[in-house]
Amino acid sequence: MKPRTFGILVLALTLVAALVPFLDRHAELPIWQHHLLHAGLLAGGALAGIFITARARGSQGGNAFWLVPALLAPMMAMFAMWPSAYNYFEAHPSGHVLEHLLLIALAYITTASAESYAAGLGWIVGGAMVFMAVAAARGFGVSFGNGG
Amino acid sequence: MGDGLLVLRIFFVVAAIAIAAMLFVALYGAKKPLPQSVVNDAGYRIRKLWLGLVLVVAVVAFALTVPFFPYPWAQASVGARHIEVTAAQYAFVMPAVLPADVPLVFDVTSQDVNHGFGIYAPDGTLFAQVQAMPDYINHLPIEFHVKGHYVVRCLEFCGIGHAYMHGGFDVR
Amino acid sequence: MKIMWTYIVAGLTIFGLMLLVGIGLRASQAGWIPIDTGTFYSLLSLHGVGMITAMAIAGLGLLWYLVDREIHLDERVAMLAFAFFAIGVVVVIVSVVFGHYGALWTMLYPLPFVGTTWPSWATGAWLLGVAAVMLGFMLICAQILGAILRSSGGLGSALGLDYVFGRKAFEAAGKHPPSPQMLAATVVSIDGLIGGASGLLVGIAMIAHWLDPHVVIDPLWAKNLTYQFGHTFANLTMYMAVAGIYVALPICTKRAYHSSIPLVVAWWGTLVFVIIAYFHHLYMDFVQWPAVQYIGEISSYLAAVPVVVVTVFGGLMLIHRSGMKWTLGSMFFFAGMIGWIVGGSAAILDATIPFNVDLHNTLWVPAHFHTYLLEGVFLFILGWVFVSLEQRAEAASSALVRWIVGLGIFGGGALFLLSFYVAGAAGVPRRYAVEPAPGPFWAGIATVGALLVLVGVLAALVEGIRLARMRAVGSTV
Repeated sequence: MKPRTFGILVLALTLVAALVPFLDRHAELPIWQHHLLHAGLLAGGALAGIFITARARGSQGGNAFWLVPALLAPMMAMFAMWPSAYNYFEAHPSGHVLEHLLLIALAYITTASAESYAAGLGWIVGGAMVFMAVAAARGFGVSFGNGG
Repeated sequence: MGDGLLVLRIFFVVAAIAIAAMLFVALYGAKKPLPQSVVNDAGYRIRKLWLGLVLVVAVVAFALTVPFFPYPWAQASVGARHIEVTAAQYAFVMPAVLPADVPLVFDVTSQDVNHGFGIYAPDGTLFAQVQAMPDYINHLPIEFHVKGHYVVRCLEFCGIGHAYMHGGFDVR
Repeated sequence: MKIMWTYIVAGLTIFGLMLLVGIGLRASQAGWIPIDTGTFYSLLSLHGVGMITAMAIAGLGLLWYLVDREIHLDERVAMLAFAFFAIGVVVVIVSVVFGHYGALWTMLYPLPFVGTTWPSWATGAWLLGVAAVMLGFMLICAQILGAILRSSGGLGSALGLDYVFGRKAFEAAGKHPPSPQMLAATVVSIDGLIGGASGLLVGIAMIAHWLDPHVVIDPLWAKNLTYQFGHTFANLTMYMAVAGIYVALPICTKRAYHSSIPLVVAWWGTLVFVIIAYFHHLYMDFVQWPAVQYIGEISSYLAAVPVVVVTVFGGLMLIHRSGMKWTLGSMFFFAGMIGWIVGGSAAILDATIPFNVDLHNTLWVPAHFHTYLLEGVFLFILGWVFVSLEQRAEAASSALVRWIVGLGIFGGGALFLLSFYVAGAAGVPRRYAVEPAPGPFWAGIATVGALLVLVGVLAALVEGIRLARMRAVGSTV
């Protein structure tokens, strides 16, 4: 399979997964599981961005200003994971699906921009973004504590 | 525990040796230059031994310190008496008198921000400490053998009153 | 050159201003000048974030230049990053001067929101200002890393994997391992992006909480991320400046510094240990997952191995019997290596858990990182500046100037640092506007030492300007 075809396949699967909010039981998910679901969507969007944009290693690459969206998009994705907005989204599944599509788009922009500057950079920037999303599950909008 | 001065002495010795050795290497024979290849041949041989020494010291030091870790899972504290400590800007709420020679566990938490629960022995040395965090309880196992007044100071920056946040208790 | 000098001059200017703030803080702790508690913590916040930013900006300027010598980098991106730094610095200053923000640069959640004496906007401005600095930092890291990936054809060869595993075939193919300064650049940029991600995550969570207090944050989680970011960012300033050793010391000693397998492997160690050594900031959080306390201690120890066995050892091998002339430039590099080792030794003692009980959040901690930054990173930056100027003008400084600068920066520095160490070992807490005894006595000694450092820095400034105004006759480094 060509990298591009693989990327399009991953993107299609991720877009299908973004429809999860239309399932009835979805609203019961605790925040931390929600973050993990979002991390999965981000990972899908990021992989798609890498494989669809993939260029030959060691090639000259593109303009360094591609780095600006590559760094700003993950920040916007973290803001889009804002936990207290969940009440609204739980009541409005279609709004929630739009939020998921936004996350996928931001992830795609992140890695596609990074790869446009230099082959391989998408893996690192995308990896850092997925790390942030997974790490968010441990304490962004939720406190575990030990009974204090 | 209360080993601040010991650490300071170790530090002075290590720093003095390091500075002396580096000055020696830089200044010895500086007026009579050698070709780089000659220095490298000797240097690479010494470096192998040096690498071995550093690794051995690191691993041995690690092994030696493990038994002295202050954590509840590293220290036997079964059957110990639990003492609740609650920190808040800018005071500690805890008993005023504690028993000597009895195993104790401080259950330390905070009502607002991060604080540090630092216990200073009657001789003024820092004796033990643990962080006081909101949402979490930290368990500090301890046993007092010296009677007298212990001062408690905040050891994590907690706001404008940080330097004035202290308390204390008597061990009898 | 333009980018390098812009960054270095900006960094050193901030350093100079923060030095004055620092002297004021120590003099206040000594009881010599009156600073009220609120102002003290505002100034301490400014001093901390300002110094780290100053070292990072200067170090990045140096690193960017060294990478640009081998692979072309787009200057406009470096200027955009500089704009992020400038905006961040201005916003932070506004937050402190007009908003009286005072929760320090390692603001542990929920501190900047609870029991504050400053308006909420000041906290927000502080968070946004620091975020802007982080963005500038990450932009440079991504630019450097991308350029390295492009020129080396992948992360594996950028890190020298193909060289270490299969050296014969590698050399037979006529290939060369990455130069030491490029290895430093690769490691700094990868770890910088990881530390930056941690910082942005906790920063965004806190900005979200600032905008919407319903967003709760786990305090232990926030503490881990804050220190992962803070430790990595502060530690990396050293590794940026270290890249200068690899280029400048060979010039001073007229010898060559080549990449070898131990050097490459040492940088792999640094790549890993810089990221995980931060656990030593959470030794006194007994609820932290036990395994990472052990990892924190052993990785803090192992982080020293690349330094003492490879970089500083290699630096000494260059100097030893090379007939090197003691100019200000070479003197700064040599003294910087001493400061690095001494500050590192203090750090390792503090990273030993049973000793950490006695030292955690005492003045020992600032003692260690002032050694590391003032007598390490700062000296490497100064060393680079002076080696460049000396090369360009083919001139050196008189012995008198070297003595004044040396006595000021090293002698005054030793006095300044000694007072931190002794007071720290005596258990005097850090970050106290008013310290218990024997803090004030040692704060007085520290103030005298810091004033001597100021004299040395001013002498170096005058000498630097003198060299810079001389006609360029030599080659650039």
